[in-house]
Amino acid sequence: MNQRDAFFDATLVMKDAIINDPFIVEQNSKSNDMWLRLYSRLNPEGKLEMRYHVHGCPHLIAISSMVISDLQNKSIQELETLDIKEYAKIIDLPKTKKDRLFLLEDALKECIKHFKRG
Amino acid sequence: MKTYLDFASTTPMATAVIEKMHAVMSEDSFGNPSSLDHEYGIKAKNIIEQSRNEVASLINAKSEEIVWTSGATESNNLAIVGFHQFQYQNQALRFVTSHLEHKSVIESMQSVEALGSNLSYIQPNKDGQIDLETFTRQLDPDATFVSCMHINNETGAVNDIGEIGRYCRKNEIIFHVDAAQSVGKISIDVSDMCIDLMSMSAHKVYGPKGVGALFINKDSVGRVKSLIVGGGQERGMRSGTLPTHQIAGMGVAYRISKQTMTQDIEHIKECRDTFLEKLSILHGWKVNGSIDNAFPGILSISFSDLYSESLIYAMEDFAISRGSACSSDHDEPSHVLKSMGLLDHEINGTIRIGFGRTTSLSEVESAATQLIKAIIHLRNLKGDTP
Repeated sequence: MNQRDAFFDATLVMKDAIINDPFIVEQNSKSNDMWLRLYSRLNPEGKLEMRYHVHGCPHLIAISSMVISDLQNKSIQELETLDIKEYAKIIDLPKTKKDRLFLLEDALKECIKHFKRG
Repeated sequence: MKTYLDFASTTPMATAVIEKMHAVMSEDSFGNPSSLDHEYGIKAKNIIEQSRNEVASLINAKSEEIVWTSGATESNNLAIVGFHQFQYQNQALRFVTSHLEHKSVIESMQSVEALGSNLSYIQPNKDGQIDLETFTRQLDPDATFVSCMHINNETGAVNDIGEIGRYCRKNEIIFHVDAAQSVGKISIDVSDMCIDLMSMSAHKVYGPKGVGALFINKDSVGRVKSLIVGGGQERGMRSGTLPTHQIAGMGVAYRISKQTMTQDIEHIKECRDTFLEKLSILHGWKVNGSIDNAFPGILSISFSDLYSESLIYAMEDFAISRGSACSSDHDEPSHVLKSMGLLDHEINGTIRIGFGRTTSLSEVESAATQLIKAIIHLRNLKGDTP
């Protein structure tokens, strides 16, 4: 998936009742109005199901879409080892837009904490 | 290739302009127009004077009142700083401009302020326009020099230049107009509008980039001090060898604009109205400024719930912009939209669409359709109702 495909891919956008009773985490950027909301839960096999809502620049939308797509059906251990910086390279994230990466990274860390707490 | 809808930023050169420039470059017109000792120079000089007549004719000026520059930015600098240096040898004056102006006016004004002059700003009305009432209510009573743009480059708002000009003339205030967006698009008569200095550009009206002109009213201003020295061209007001081919291109562009102005504006208005009609099926957007007092070729639309950068990205087949071309290189919110009272999230969600002589109605309809799709996609990503 490239940046453009990821930007336009709305398959994993949260719609009503796609995930019942998810863990919801929202990260807001302090410097602008961008935000990312993740909806996640573990299925009976202990694998991730994740959906999202996002508002912001094309880079934030693309990287969120790409990462969340790759995390479907992954375990928490696999989520922990995810290297988001690799995605930044794929979408050619400008240095001035590093904060987009942090939004996603912080949201995923919250997910990990939540699921580890059980 | 994307469909171009950013005509406020620049315009594609007209075919006749390209042909004329090509001919000038190919023929024996390469002489230095200042070298009048031989036919090469004389030939170039004749081309330049013919173009000067075309420019003067478009605005009802005398040809000797036109000084060639590199574009409207230089013209604005020359008008403000050059006037201050020549007429008053940098002594403190009271300058007035508006929050709507292009940075080349604002920063020129700030440079005279730094030399001790007083500078004050007129706040536009809620439609982003400066009419006579707005102007006189806020005008410094001791103002010496006023600079006010004609058509705003971000919203298309048309300021009441004629009324302001006549007021300034009556009150012995020098009046400069930045007409980069208006000349060749709507009618300008420098005599009737009582304009003392006026900045013009070629590339906004299907001419080449890198050339423009400054109108200097012979009776009220006469001269400005050259900011570029060493050569004495343009009667000592702008040194540097004149670019014959570019000036020839500007002359043709202005001649065509004079001939087609009425039909151009009718066509452009039809483009804008078609676009807005198609967009009317959506909620949550507004046109910045008043449709009734705006040039139809510039449309500023705010989607306060969306991010303009993403809207533009989603409009993949169309070239549109976030704000003015000069300020879309960096992330500072538009000073023009701020002065109109727009909030940051409204500015963040603002796009500018420009229609021109070569825009077709089918392109306009396709652009509106793609914009609607983009908005629906982005609202879906937010979890909102499209």
